[in-house]
Formats: sequence, structure tokens, C-alpha cells
Amino acid sequence: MSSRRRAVLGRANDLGWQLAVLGAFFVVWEIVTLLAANPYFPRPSMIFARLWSTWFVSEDGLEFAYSAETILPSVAVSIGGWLVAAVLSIAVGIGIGLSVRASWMLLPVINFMRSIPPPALLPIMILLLGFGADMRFALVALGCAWPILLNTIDGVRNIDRALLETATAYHIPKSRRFFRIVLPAASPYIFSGMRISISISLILIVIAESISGSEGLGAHILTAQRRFQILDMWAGIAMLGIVGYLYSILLIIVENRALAWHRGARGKSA
Amino acid sequence: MERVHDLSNAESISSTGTAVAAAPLALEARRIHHEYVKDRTASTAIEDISIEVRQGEVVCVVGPSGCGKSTLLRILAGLLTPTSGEVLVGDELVDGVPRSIGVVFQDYSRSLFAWMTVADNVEFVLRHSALSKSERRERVAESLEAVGLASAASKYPWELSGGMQQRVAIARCLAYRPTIMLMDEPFASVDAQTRFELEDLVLRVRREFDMTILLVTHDIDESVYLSDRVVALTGSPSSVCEVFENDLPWPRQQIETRAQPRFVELRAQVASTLVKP
Repeated sequence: MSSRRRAVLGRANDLGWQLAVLGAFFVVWEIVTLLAANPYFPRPSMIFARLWSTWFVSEDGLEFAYSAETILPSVAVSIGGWLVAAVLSIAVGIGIGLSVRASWMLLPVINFMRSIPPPALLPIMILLLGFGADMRFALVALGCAWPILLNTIDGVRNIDRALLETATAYHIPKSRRFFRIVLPAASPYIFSGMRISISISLILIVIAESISGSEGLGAHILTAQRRFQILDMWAGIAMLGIVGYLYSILLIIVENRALAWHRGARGKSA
Repeated sequence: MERVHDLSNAESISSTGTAVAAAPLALEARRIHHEYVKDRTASTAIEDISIEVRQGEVVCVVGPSGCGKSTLLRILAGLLTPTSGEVLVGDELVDGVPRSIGVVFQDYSRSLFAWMTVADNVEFVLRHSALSKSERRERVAESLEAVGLASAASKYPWELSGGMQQRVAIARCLAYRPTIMLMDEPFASVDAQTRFELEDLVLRVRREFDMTILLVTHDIDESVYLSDRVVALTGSPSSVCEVFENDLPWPRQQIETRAQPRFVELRAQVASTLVKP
């Protein structure tokens, strides 16, 4: 058997096991809810059936319009806020990280800001910006900024001095250093911060939509709960889980491509 | 791929000794004294060191571990300002790294950029120079060719062995076209066989590019094999213990030169300075 074939079969084997465990989880869930017969905990088969008919295909045909109405606002605001936070935090973080003085002066403040649970900022945001999409956007951006900022600063401060000394020895101009040395060298840490933040973005968007209850998945879930449409509520939660999972996968794909060199470099022990 | 015992790989300069003695000063260190503060106590790394390097020379600096050799090299390169004393490159006082100096660091894994290919690493030091894109590419190809790594251009540093990575660092320095090359224990992290190949590479670089080279090393054999002169340092805080004129004939060959009685003699002389308290 060729090594390639063995590798493929190996992966198929792993995937098989993963699916088997996932399947077993659902089977157990189905059985438990079936036996419990609690109206607040419907069977997963029913939840996913409702999910499918709400956002994908119903008796009326494809549900693109509804998907667009509910999922798109949540995704757009959460991803948008996260990206804006990322760009700003990375830029500022690199600047702070490169300056020893700025680092020790600002880190306590940044750590404090990071320690405030972002949902606690909701009342302030509502006072400042009302209940609209821009409030939600700002809340997501604010909540996502701190982990990325801290990780960027950490990443920059952990850059091997030898790399920077090499840059000095060869007269590499400051602007080139920023994009070609500092940014790549700190990128493992930065991606770490972005992974943390993307989870926060989803949490915040759901909370913000629950409070302001207009459009989006969070709003859908809360509205369903208020109307005691338990199945719709659960379907919304499951859909949120799927969206979050897709976020992770997307980020992993991007990270794998951007950090291929890092895995290689780490794998080799000098 | 060079082989250690291949005589055709040998140096072919003759009478380098007399030619070099008359050459102008490429690099000069005058009365370098350096202190540093650690945990609120001042320590002296370098007591008093003066060194002269003439154009086209290979000067090896040896000393016991911890005597401040790396610090000295960084001062000579302009990466560090000494507490007192001056460094002159071609009659000009050094302030910051002079354009005519290229540095090869000891730890290649920490001076090559892991996210760039070998070719990109070499080209990186050329970006701001006045060369056009095609000229840069040519320079990169030429430098990689000179160190025997033309086939590794699109690999990443971590895919190469230690010796090859150090060659990349040397290629990068060559592409930069310095007139003086400073090397900080460049072969310390490399196995013996590879070290012989890289030592011969240094000699070839000096010959082909008319380079002036100052090489810091803890390896006494290496210092005698490579040099026109050996500067032996004392322990910390370091001063120049003794300077040995190396009159071994050129071309140098790994097996033959090392077997010569004069080599053994010089080696013993240098070694005795290091053993002294």
C-alpha cells in the first residue's frame, strides 16, 4: 500500500471516528429528550427539521430571503466589528509593542479594560448610540479589540531580538521592518488573539440583538422565547452554533495558510 | 557539493602575507572599553582592546567563553556603542552600522526570517539598494551560487540543515556587498565536517570577493587555519593577550595545513594563552 494511500485511509479513519462520536452524541440527545418529554427540550431531530425549514428549504421553497434577513445582519455586524477591531488593534498594538516605555505604561490600563466583561458595556453603548446597528457594531468592535491588542503587544515584545538586530545590521528601513519583519514575526500571537475575539464577537452580537430585539439571529431567538415558540428558539440556537462553527473553520483555513511557515519552523527542532 | 578532502577546492593565493601587510587599514578598534549595568551593578565586559585589520586580511579573534567576544564584535559592527574607545572603518569613526560592514551572526536560526524563502531572505537586504528588480535577482542567484545553494532558492530556512542555513546567512551577507565581513562564531552550531566546508568557503569568499574578514571564534584550530593573524583575548574583563602573525603558507588545505609542524606550533601557542589564568 503506498504511503499516500495509507495517509488518505488514515484521514478517512479519523473522520469516520469523529462522525461516529458526533452521531452517538445526537442519538443520546434524541433518546434523552424523547424519554424526558419536556416541552422546553425538544428532540434534536425536530430542532434540525425546523432549522432546515426556517432557513433553507420549506414548503414555500428556498428560504433565501429569510436567511438573508436574519443571518446576514448578525454575521455582517459581528464580522465587520471584529475586522475593524483587528485592523485598529494590530496597528496600535505593534506601535505599543515596539516601544518598551509605552508597553509598561499602557499595559496595566489595557489589561483593566480587557477585564471588563464586554456585555457590561452594553448600557453605556445604548446611552451613547441607541439601539441601532451602529451600536451593535461599536459594541462588537470594542469587545473584540482588547484581546487582539494584548496579543499583538505580546507578540511584538516576544520577537527575537536577533531578528531586529539583523535588520539594523543590514540597514533595513523602518517601514519595511513593520510589514516584512514585525508583522509576520508577531502573527502567531495575533492570530491567537483574533481567534479569541471572534468568539466574543458572536456572543456580543447575540446579546446586543436580544436587548435591542430587531433583526438578526439573536433577535429571532429572543422573540421565539418570548412567544413560547420553543422549537424556533432551539432552531435559532442551533443555527447560531453552526454560524460560530463556520467562523472557526474559516479562521482556521486562513490561519493555516498564513502560518504554514510557523508550523514548519516549529516542527524542526534545531 | 564540496568534499573536505578535495584538493581542487584548495586556496590558490600565493604570498598573501606580504601583499596584505602593506595594505591600508580597513577596520581599526582603538582602546575599546565597555561596561554594562546588570541588576544595578556595573560590570566590565571589555577592559582594553585595540585591533587593526588590514584590507584583504582574515583576522581571527579567539578567547575563552564569556570573555566578551560577541560584545566586541557588535561594537566593531556599530550595533553597540562602547563605553569608551573608538572604532574606525576606513578612517571614519563608526556611528551606527557602517554601510561597508556585513555581519554573519552565530545563531542562523534566529537571524534568517522563517516566513521567507531562501531567495527572499537573500534579496531582503537588497530591496532598498539602487538595483533594479532583475539586477537584484541576478545578485541573489550569484550569491547563492557562490555558497553552493543555487538549488535551495525556493526552500524555507527551516527545511535546510544547520550548515546550509549558515550558508544562506553568508550568501545574504555577500549579496549585500560589504567590504568587511564580521562573523560571530559562525560555525559554532555546526558539525565538524560541515565546519571544514564552511571554513574553506570563507577562504574562497575572501579570494573571490577580495573581502576583509574578522572572525570571532572559540575554536583554536579554526583560528589558525583561517587567519593571517590571530588575536587572542584574555578572560573577562577582556584585553588583548597576544597577537600572533600567521605565516602558514597559502593555499591552505584542511588536511595538509593542519598536519604541518608550524600549524601545531601556532596552535599550541594560541592555546597556551587561553589556558593561562
